[in-house]
Amino acid sequence: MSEARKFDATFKKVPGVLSLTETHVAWVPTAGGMDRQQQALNRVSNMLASKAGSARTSLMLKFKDDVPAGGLLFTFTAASKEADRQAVQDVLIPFVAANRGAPAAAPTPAAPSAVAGPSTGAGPSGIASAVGTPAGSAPGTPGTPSSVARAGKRKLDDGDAEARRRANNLRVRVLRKNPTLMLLHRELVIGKQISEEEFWDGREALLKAEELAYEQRPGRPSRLLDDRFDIAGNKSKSGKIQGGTGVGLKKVETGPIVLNITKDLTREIFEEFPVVQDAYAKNVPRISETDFWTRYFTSTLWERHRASVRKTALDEGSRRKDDIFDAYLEDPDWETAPRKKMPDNVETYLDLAATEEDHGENLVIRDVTMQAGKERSSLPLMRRFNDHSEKLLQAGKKKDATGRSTIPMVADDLYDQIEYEDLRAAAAPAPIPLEVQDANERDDADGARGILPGRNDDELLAMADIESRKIADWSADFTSVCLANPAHPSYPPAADDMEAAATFSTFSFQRDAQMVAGRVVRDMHVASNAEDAVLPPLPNAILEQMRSCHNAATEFLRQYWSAILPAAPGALGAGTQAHSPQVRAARATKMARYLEGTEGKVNAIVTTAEIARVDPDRVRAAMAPTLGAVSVALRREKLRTGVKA
Amino acid sequence: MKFMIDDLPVLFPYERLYPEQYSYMCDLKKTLDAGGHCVLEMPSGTGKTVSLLSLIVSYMQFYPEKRKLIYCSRTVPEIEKALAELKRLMEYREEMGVKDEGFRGLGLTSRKNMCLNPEVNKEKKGKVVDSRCRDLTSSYACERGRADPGSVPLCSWHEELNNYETGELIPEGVFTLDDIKKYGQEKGVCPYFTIRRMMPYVDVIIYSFHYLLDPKVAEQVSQELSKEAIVIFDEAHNIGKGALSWVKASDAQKLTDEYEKLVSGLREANDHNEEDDLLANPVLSDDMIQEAIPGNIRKAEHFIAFLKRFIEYLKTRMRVLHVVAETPQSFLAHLKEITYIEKRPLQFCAERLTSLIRTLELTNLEEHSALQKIAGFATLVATYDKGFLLILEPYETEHATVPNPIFHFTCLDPSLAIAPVFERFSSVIITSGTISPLDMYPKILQFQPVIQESYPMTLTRNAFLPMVITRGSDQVPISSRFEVRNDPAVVRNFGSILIDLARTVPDGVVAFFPSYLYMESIVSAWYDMGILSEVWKHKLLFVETPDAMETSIALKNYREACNNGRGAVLLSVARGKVSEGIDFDHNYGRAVIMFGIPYQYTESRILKARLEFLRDNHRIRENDYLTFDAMRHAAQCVGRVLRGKTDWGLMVFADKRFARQDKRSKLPRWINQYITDAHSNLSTDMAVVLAKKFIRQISQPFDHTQTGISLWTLEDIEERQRKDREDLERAAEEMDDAFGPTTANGAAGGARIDDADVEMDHFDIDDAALAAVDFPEDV
Repeated sequence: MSEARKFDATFKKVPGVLSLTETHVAWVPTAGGMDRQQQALNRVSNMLASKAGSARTSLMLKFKDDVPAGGLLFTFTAASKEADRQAVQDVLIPFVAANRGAPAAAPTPAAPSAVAGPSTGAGPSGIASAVGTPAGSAPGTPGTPSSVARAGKRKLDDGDAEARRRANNLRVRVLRKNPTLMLLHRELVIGKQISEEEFWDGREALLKAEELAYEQRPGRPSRLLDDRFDIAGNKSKSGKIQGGTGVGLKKVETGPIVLNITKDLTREIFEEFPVVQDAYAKNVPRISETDFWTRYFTSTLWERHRASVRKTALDEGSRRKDDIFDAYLEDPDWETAPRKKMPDNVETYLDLAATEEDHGENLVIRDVTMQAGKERSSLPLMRRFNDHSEKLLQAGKKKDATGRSTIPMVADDLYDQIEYEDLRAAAAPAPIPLEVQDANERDDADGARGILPGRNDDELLAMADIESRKIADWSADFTSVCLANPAHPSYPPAADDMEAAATFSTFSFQRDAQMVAGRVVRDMHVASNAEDAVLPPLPNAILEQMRSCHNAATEFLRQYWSAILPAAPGALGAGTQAHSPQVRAARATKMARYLEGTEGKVNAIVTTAEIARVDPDRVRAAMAPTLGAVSVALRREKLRTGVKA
Repeated sequence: MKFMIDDLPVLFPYERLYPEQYSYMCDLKKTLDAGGHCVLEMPSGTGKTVSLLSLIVSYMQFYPEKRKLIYCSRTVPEIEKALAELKRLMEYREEMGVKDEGFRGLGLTSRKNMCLNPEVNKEKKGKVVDSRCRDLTSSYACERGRADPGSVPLCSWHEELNNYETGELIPEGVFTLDDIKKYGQEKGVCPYFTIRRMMPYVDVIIYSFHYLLDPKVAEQVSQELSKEAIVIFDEAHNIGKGALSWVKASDAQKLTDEYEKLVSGLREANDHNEEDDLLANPVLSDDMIQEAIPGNIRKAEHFIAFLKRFIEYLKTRMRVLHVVAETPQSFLAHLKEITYIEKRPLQFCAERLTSLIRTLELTNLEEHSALQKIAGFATLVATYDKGFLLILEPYETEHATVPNPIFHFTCLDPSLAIAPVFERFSSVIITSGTISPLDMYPKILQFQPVIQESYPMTLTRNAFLPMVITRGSDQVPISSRFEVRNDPAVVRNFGSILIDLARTVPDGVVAFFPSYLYMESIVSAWYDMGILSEVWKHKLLFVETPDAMETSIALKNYREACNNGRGAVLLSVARGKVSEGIDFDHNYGRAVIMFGIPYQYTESRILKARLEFLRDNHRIRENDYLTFDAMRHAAQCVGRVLRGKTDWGLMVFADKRFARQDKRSKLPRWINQYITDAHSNLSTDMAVVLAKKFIRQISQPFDHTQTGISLWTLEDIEERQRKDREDLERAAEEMDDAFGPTTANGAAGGARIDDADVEMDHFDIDDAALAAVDFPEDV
């Protein structure tokens, strides 16, 4: 732990000392009478400083989830208060940046130790540094956690560091999304049982999915630029844009319309109308930006660009000649043939022009309503729709070109156009199992398939027939199994009445036997009920231990088997160095060693259970499957090494 | 799979078959055997083309007559698809070990689409390409160019063809239009002339039905086709329109200088060059062509003077500022009165002009097209006195003030154009997804079909949901009726249907409007109401524009948006460019919305004249015809969403008039049978709820491999055939019981009864037997 930096500051008008460690910010009152304040740095979400030169030099810190409510307001009191505050701010900037960027997520992120590397601190320090390192923090800013963490490390070249950082961010995101995985990670990696790389080996698919999901960016808004600026925008509570662009417009009740030109709006205008960009580039330093836009929005060019049939809000009188924009005026694109040059060929099955030319001299005159392009004023609008949609489509594609193509383009073969898929005798489609969160439940439901597997329907039917006939034919014949009560008047029988005595003894034997049988059945019933009865829950501590032991064993098993079994062809990460036979063999041995320890761990838990007066058998029974799996793996390992030896 | 229909083995390139396809093929075979015509309505997207081709190719190759197949389709995309079907069918037949040696299948389209000459094909207009091509390839140009190389520009692609043997210009097999262009590029030959010259040698020719119906084109292109050929009109709901299309439009302004030029270049020469294909007489009757050209136009200067007089007369007529409609007879009478022009020389106008142009060896014929038009018009007006009408419209629209006179010479009787086809070819098959009601066609086109059938659609689950939306969520009735269509409430309600469906339906949504005019006005209205911005939140928006290529690009983008999951809406027009020939199957169209009923423009004088003609001659009421036509187009539009039985889609009819029984009954049976009463009068919100439910349901996993109901295996076919045989035998037995065994014609079953009365009964019994044999849809 590096030493804490201390500054004099008051909190709620109580003088005290504000101290900053690598991970925490704390305030301790000098005189008591006030609670200490301590917060983790990685929870700082915002800081607000008083204006430079104001009477007090204060800093308001806000934390995630607004806990503590309202944040903490410190006022620096030392002579070097400005510098103090600056120093605190410098330390906090990266954390604030990181917290702003990350979506509100699980509170305690576990960090991969790779970045923290051989960080001197324990877990939490590593976490802070990994999470808190923002993308833009310049290396070498004194006091930032990242530089502290890096200080002890050998110098990595920038590209490598960048890649590692990205990988780490990715892993952190995956962990945040899967609490169970995070738990496992904490136990195994942070608990130093296996290395970071080993942990992630075989989980490439998860990372990949996360990467893809994260890289997806919202595209261009699809609305078309027009002049329906959202006048009611301020009033409507949802702030939803109805219709037009609705970008920053303020209207004074009777006065002129005031437009607030935002960056987004200009970008949109430039994209939609390159001529405006051209005009802007040529003129703007010369005339002021405000002037430029005012003139644009009152020009005839804008009137054309709106391409709306509706009357403009500006009346004819207020529009004047404009030497900048009028130069760009051209006739509206409302002829039947578009002004834009069209490519000559499209796929034959979409080629409408070919059909038009196919009939030679076209003598048919269509009636007025069916002559396309009669309503000339709406043609430029329709063309703009098509262009705009095409632009949006292309905008989506461009991203693919730089990265990788996310959606494979469908090859439009001519045969595909005429194919009837259902007329092909297709095999029944294989069911795709849904990705169920808890896979165990699904496995339970699976069970053995069918009744008496291995027999065909006829056999089953015959069996059922026989059984049902048995039941149908059954008739109760109690006399054959139950002796009549020899309610003999001479009871107990006379000693000499041998026959009666024999009958009686048989009867009494039967009666006793019945009673015993009844008791046995009752006892069994009670016992079986007791078996099903809900046992008192295991104490949390023991359950926790069991879970942890099981999780660890499972992870080791996963690692072990993935090292032993041949990698699936086409699996992510296959063929890298981590998959060379030597590495794999080494890992298998290592994992086997870990697995050998499992039994000991289970025994330890059993002992703990005994101490805690919990039935140790229950623990054993619960851990039995785990142990079984482990023993299978160990047997296999013995065989393997045995063969090798 | 391979199965037998009677004695004919049919090879079908799939392992499964729809029951509709089987019945369709059976009926086709019956028609071909009987050598007659038929009208068949087959549901959209149930594999009509592939059934047609596989049966007919099997038929052609099995029987020794080797009849040819002329397959007429509407649009180039459809021609290309039919060619691809044929190509794949032939590949399949080869796989199955059938040797179709020397089998050739080709498609034909215009020069504009086929030309490889970079000088010529850069022209935008098809007509210009045609005329430039003729300049380079006409026989006199060729002759002179070959005699004296370099003197006349020739087309090397065309010249290259001479190095090949006649009839062997292209290897055997099937070539799609793209294939043949590629082939032409490789070998440096002209694809267009390759096809044209191969026409007598091909087994299957696929082209637009204009090549058979338009007499001018037909004479050049389709003359050599033998009378035995089988003719198919696919998507034939348009042939009525095709046949109706000889409309004459003329603007006589620029004519004068044209023929001045002609006169100045006049020279005497009288050699004839018969093998040219450049211009043809637009008239059909053979006997007329044999006649000699009348004396008074035999000399060139006389002919020019004659034409001049005729044009002067037309100009005078067109100065009139009110609408004139008259029959050809009255026109001719008036003409004679004023200019002393007789009917007979007029008849030969077109031919005389052709020979004059040929004599003068004129090039750049495009410049003379107006003159050719006039001559063609003269010939037509003098030849046909029945079934045609002349209409002069001085103004383009009702409200126009500047005269823009148009002289229409319109054909009222569609049977005129198709009559020669029926006469000439023994089997004409008219087929489409939408020609209900079936009896209308034979009536209008005046022929007697052997078989006339509409097949229901068998479905194991309801793959499409037709809904009729009659009012908006605010209960205001919606309609595209002229009086209310621009009512803001209606426009907004139409818009909210689009918004709601764009929100609900995945992937592609296609919307059709009744006319371009309406679409153009409603699109800007929607934009101003902010409706389209709402649509944009869910899907991209594309609109059909007047330019075909522009629309093709929009379509391409639309399909891309559907493929990559973005989803898109396409706004287009019924009867427009997109509605014919472009399929919106699978994800390209999960919903079709028909905004309003696509009625024709009833104010059109031509339409009025035609309706009158139909009423007077065929007793078809105007309203019936209009509704029939409109519903057919509506069905055509919505039918575009389905292809195959695993495909699914919503069909939304948004107009309160669709709820009326008289409208709905004119929809094809396969659509109408799935419109329930509950779904025939919905408001927008109810429809959206239903749509959501339907989409949820249809997205459940479903075993599409189950056969027997809507999908047959070979066994199912055999089972059906066995059943049919049994029915037939039972019917025969019952008849024997009723009338006593007939010994006269011995054979079991079949048509052996000569007596007409008995035959009637025979059919009654047959029907009853069929009904008894659990024949679910056929009642």
